[in-house]
Amino acid sequence: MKQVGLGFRRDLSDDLLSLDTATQPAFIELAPENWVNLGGYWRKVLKSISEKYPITCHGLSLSIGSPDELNWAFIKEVKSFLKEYSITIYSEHLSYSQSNNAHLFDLLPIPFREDAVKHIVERIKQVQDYLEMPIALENVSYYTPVAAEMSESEFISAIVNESGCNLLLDVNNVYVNAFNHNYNAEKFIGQLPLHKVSYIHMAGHEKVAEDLIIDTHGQAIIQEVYQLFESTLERIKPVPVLLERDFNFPEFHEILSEVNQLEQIAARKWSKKSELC
Amino acid sequence: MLRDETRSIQQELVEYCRMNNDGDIVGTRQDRLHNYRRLIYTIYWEALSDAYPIAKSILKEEQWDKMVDDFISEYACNESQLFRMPFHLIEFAEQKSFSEVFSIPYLSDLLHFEWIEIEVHSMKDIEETSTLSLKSREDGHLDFNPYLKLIKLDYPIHRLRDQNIEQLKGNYFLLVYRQKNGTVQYMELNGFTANLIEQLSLYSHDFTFLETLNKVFKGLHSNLRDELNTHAINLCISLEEKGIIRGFKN
Ligand SMILES: [Fe+2]
Repeated sequence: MKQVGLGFRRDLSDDLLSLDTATQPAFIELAPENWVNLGGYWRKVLKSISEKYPITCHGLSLSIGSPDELNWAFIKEVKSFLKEYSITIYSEHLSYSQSNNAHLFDLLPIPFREDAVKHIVERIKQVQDYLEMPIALENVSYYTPVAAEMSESEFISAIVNESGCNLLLDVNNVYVNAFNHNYNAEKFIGQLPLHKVSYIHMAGHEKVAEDLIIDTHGQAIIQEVYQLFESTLERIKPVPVLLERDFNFPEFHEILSEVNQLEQIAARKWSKKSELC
Repeated sequence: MLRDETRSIQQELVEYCRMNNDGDIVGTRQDRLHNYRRLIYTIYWEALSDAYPIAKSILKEEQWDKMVDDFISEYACNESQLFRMPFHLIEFAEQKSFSEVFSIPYLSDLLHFEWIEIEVHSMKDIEETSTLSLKSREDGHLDFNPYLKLIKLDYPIHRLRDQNIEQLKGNYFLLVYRQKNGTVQYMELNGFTANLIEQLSLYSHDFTFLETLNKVFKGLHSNLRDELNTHAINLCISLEEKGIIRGFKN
C-alpha cells in the first residue's frame, strides 16, 4: 500500500488532478487556514482534490506555544472543516506564531522550559478534547534557541508524553537543526518518543551560510536527509510520509520522482513491519 | 502556568520580529535572530504584493516597502488566515493617511477596490436555490447573486489604466460580482441605479419585486412612477442576463 503523500500547493493543482491512480501520491496534505471559509473557484478545486485523494490537514495558526489564549473560534472552524471533508489526521507545529494578538504567520521557537511544557500540555489536551481526536505536533526547525533550560529532545519528549499527543517527525527539520545547532541527528532521533511518531515530513532546504541552513521547502531533498530517513524508518512503525514542496517548483515529474523515491524506501524498510516494531 | 519571565521572552521575540528593535533577548543567538525578522517580512511583503498588485505598481518601491514595514510593526494583525491578512492593510493605510503621505489621493479607494475583487472571488459558497426567469412571470421575490458587493468610491479606480483619475474626484458606484465560472466582474452604476439595486436587494427577502417598487417610488407622480417602474424592470432583466440577479425565487 502506498504511504507517501504530497503537500498541496495551488501551483500543483492541475497536475495533481490529471494523474492516474497508478502514479498519484497516496494522499494530499493541506493547511486548513488556506481553505476554511473559502468559496468560489478554489473551493471547487478542493472538492475535486478531495474526490480523488484522501486528505490530511497540517495547520499553521494554532500557535500552541503562544502566551496568548487559544483562538477557539478558529479551532471550531477547523473542526467543522475536518468533519466536512472526513479528515482524520490533523497535525500542527510545536511553535508559536503570535503574541498580544499580532500574528506573524511564521513558526517561532518556544523556550525549552518546564513551564512552557506545562502550558502547552494543558493546551494540547484542551484542543484534543474539543476536536475529539488526537493531534500530532511537529518538531520545527529553529535558528536560535530561546532562553532554553532543557534540551530540545527533552522538551519535545515531555510534551508528547505528558499530553498524549502524537509526534509528527520532520526528518529534514532534525537534519537542519542538527546542522545549525551542532548536534548529532541520529542520536537526537533516538532520544525522541519514537513509539508516538504518527506521521513523517520530508523536505528540501537551503544552505545559506557555512554554518546555517534555512528550512525553505524550496529544493529537492538532499542525500543526507534521505539517509536519515532510512535509518529512522528502521526504528518506527509504518506511518504516512509527506513530501513538502512549497515553492520554486521544478517540472512536476521531478516532484513525483521524489515521492516515488520515498515510496520505495518506505516499502523496503517497512515491508516486514505491518505490526508495531 | 507560564512564568512571567517566559511569557515576556516570547513577547519580546514577537516584538523583535515586528519592530526590528535591538533584539537583545535573553538566551538567543544575536547572529541568527535576524533570520526570523527577514522571513516574516517576506511572508507579509509577498502576501500584500499578491493582494495589491496595482497599488504596488503605482507606489514607488520605497513607499511600498515602508507601508509593509509600518504595517508589520505598528498594526497587530489579529488574523489566523494568511489569505485574509491583506484586508487589514486597508484600515491601517487609512489610519496612517497614506493617501496624503504619498500624495496619491486615490490610494485608499485602490486598496479597497483590489481587496473587494479577492473577497468576492473567495466568498464562502452558499447552496443554490431554484429560480424562475424574470421573463416567465410578472412578480415574485428577487433572487440576487449572493456573491456581490456594491461599493462607493471617490475616484474611478476602474479607469485607472486609461485616465489620470486624480482630477476626477466624485461619487462612483461599482457592483462587483462573481460569475458562475468563478471569475469576478464589475459594473459601473450611477447613483440612482446603485441606490435602486441596494433597495431591491435589501427588501427582496420580505417583499416581492412589485411591492418593493411601490415602497421605493411611493409618493411620486404616477407618470414618473410608471417610467421608473419600466426602468427598474428593464434594469433587472439586464442584471439577470449578467447573472447579478438569478431570477425570481421559486
Ligand atoms: Fe514539516
